[in-house]
Parts: sequence; structure tokens; C-alpha cells
Amino acid sequence: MQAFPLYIDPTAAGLGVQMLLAGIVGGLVTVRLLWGRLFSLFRRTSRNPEEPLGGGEAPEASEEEG
Amino acid sequence: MVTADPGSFRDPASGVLLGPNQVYRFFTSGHVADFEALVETGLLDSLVASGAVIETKALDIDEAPEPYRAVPGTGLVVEHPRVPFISYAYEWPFEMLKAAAIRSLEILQLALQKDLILKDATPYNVQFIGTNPLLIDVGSFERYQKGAPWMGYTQFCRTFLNPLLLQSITGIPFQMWMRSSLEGIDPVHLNSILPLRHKLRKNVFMDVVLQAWLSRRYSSGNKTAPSLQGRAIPKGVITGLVNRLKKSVTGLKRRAKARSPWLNYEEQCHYEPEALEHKDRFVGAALAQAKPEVVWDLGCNVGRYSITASRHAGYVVAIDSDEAAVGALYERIKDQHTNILPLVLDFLNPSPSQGWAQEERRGLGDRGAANFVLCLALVHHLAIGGNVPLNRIVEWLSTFAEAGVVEFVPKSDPMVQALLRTRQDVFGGYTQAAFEEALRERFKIIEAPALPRSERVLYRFAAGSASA
Repeated sequence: MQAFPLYIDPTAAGLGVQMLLAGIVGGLVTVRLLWGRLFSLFRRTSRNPEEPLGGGEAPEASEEEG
Repeated sequence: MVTADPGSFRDPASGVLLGPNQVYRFFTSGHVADFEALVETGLLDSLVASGAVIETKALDIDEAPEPYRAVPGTGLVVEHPRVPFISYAYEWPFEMLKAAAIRSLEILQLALQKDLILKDATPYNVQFIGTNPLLIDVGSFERYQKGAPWMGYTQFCRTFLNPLLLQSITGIPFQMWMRSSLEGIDPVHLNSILPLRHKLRKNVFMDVVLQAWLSRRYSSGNKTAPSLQGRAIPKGVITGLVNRLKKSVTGLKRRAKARSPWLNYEEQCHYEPEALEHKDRFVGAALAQAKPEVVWDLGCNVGRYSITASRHAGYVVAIDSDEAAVGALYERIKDQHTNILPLVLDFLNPSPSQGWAQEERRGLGDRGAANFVLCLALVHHLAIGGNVPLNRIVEWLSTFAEAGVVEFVPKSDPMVQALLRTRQDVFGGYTQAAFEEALRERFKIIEAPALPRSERVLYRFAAGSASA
């Protein structure tokens, strides 16, 4: 980290709270990222291999609309 | 005559000189770019226009006062108008500290949007002009640096949030504590007096309990303590922290149980209607005739006569020792009267000069004088409630007042009798004649009508004495 021009003491407690929050936010982002990858993996394995990418629902829906 | 502000020395990046009608702030060469960024982003102009930041004008170095030109390393000098009356956080009621806190956080939110940040967060950077809180320290802005924490977080908690939480949760007014501790309320101390059920509230837990725990854990030079070389803080975390603090402060309310009896003083009218009408008319006429620049309303309660004075005076400093009454006055006038400054002060023990070398924060007597004072229904509280002899009260008035109206309430009055109910009457010298004699020694009495259907007397006085 860079050196910051300081004239007040941010205190270890003040830095600690912000680092903890950064850790929590970082952790949540990581979990969300991993969950997204896991979910996409699950979707890929459960999809019918003959089904075209993008799903097969759209043409049916457009027929109903028509 | 330009003098150095003895309260401006902590931040080596900038400092303040006081002129007769202006305040000058210098920035050292290394920090000029921070001010330039504040100007270039348009933030300074928009904050000044909205009344959130004090008017600021950059000067050519040739226009700057002499001491600055002689200081090596001065990169820029800016000029501000002088604040009509300097006040401090320990003289503000709950509502004013809350307004100053919200104003500071709003400015910080806008600054972050422009890639700037406030490097500190203290109520001593805020002054009220009337009821409007104004950031006066433009040296607080600096360019945001990626990964840097918000350095002012703990300072904000100690000087804004913790005093407000103290009063909101326990009902104990924060002013006494803040006056003794200019750095604010330590989370360790606040944590030790808060009830458990409040500590479990999300915001209290994060900003008080967790900080207190971390503070204790790292108190003795612990090598594992977080440092500036630690984890980088994403900007989103700081934005989220500031947003959460603003929501938390906005939701804080004065504790309802701690209601003051003085809030109902006007409703429980102690005057016959005829006497009150006469008093209102007399005070209004005295002010209209004097047209004073500065009025001090001593013992203003919820501001009946401060509001009258505001119609005739340039600026009104409305002072009372009852914190709740001053808070009610602020709430009553905050959207209408920008020339009334409500303050909490106990005249028996007014704010002293204090801080470094006892000159960092100035005492009441060093912050100006009044062209006109209103001292209505106050003398008996000082004399009987505080045992101050009448001649000392008048002598004290003469140290800051040029003229005014003072009310004498005799011993026979029910309000004085109430003060004497639980104590021995040792106030043989408390008579109208003695008061009048003391007043004549220091001032010229212009008129002294008795209020109809009352034994109370109003004195209109001006500079000069009978003996002069």
C-alpha cells in the first residue's frame, strides 16, 4: 500500500474495522463468484446435449404470441 | 491586523490566519493539488452554492497577507469570510451535533463520487452560521487514493457518533463529556456504560463494541495490530461505511424520557396575559430602537425573545443552560431563522479557554461581545440558584454588554419562592433597591417599568453610569 499523508491517527481499531469489512466484502464476492461457476457447471451437466444453446423455449413462446 | 489562529496547528498541510473581516488559509506546496482537484471537479462551487461549505476565494500570492508571503513552502492562500460567532460541539444541543454530523457525511459522500475524500471528520471543522452547519476547513479535502482507508472514521465515531449514541441511548447529555475530552468519547468508555441490549444493535456493535474490543486488543503496541501497510480497502467499502453511518445518525433521536421541565416554560405561563403583552411590547420596542448588530439572549429558553430580536438585529446568539430547551429552539427555527445561533452554556460555569496552551478553543468571553443583551428572568437563577451576589452579576454583564434589557424578579415572586422552597434564605442582599444600585454603578438606566399585575421590573440600560 502507498504511504498516505496523515496528521491524525486512524487507530488500529478504526483500520481493523475497515479491514474486516473489506475482508467480508471480499469473501462475499469470492463466494458469489464460486457459486456462479458451480451453478453454471451444474447447468451445463444437466442440459440435454441435443438442446441448442440458448434454450428451446423461445420459438414456442413466439408461436403462442402469434 | 492579521494574527495566527492559535487553534490551527495540527495539520501541517494547511493553516489559518485571522484578519479583521476575513480568514486566510494557506496550503503548503505539496497539498495545493488537493485544493486544485476540489476546484476542478466543480465540487467546491456546488458545495459553496448549497451552503454546505464556507465561501472560498483563491488569492494571488500578492494579495495574501504578509506573514504568508514570508513563509517558505506556502503554495496557495485562500480567503474566507469570518464566521459571526465561533461555537464548539460542547455548546451544541443534540440536534445541532446531529445536523453537523449529517452535513459532514453528505459532503463526504459527494466527495467520494468525485474521487476526493475528507481526511478528517471532527465537529471542530464545522461552524454554524445561524442554524446552518458549514464545513469551514477546505484543507480537509484530499484526492482519494486507491486502496486507502478512510482516516477519519475513528475520529468521526469519537466526536460525532459516540456523543450522539450516549445521549440517545442513556439520556445523558454529551456536552459535559465533550467539553472535558476534546478528542471525543472513546469507544472503550462508551462500551462500558451501554446496556447489553443496545450493544447488539448492528450499528452500535460495529462502531462501538467492535472498535472497543479491537482498541483493547491492540492497546499495548501489539505487533499484529492492523497498520497502514495492511489490506487495501476497496472504495466500495468506504462508500458503504459512510452510507451506513449516515443512515445510523439520521435515525438517532433524543431520548424521550429525558424531557426537561423548561420545555414547557412558555406554556406554563408565569405571567398574567397583560404583563406578558407588556413585556413583549417593551422588549420589541427596545430592540427596534437600538437596532443592534449583535444580540445575546441570555437564558433564552425556547427562544420567544430570540425570535423577536432576530427581526431587529444582525445576529442573535441565544444561550441557555438547559440543553433540551436549546434543542427545541433549534428545531423550531432551523428552517426559518438563519441569524439565530442557539447555544448550550451554563453561565455559572461558561466554556473556558482550553486545549493546547489553553488557547486552542476559546472561552466565551474571548469570542466577542454583545451590542445588546436580553437578560430576562435569569438574574434570580444566578443570584438564588447560584449564590452569585447581585453586584457581581451586573459586573459580569458589563464585561460584554453595551446595552440591553434586564428583568428583576423579586423574592415575593412564586418562581423565586420555588427556588427557596428547599433551602434557607441567606439572600438578605437580594432586593430591587440593591439590584438597581448595582446596575447604576455600571450602566445608565434609561427606563424601568414594572410589569402590570406583577412585581417584576424590566430595566432598559445603556453604556455609562450615574457616577460617570
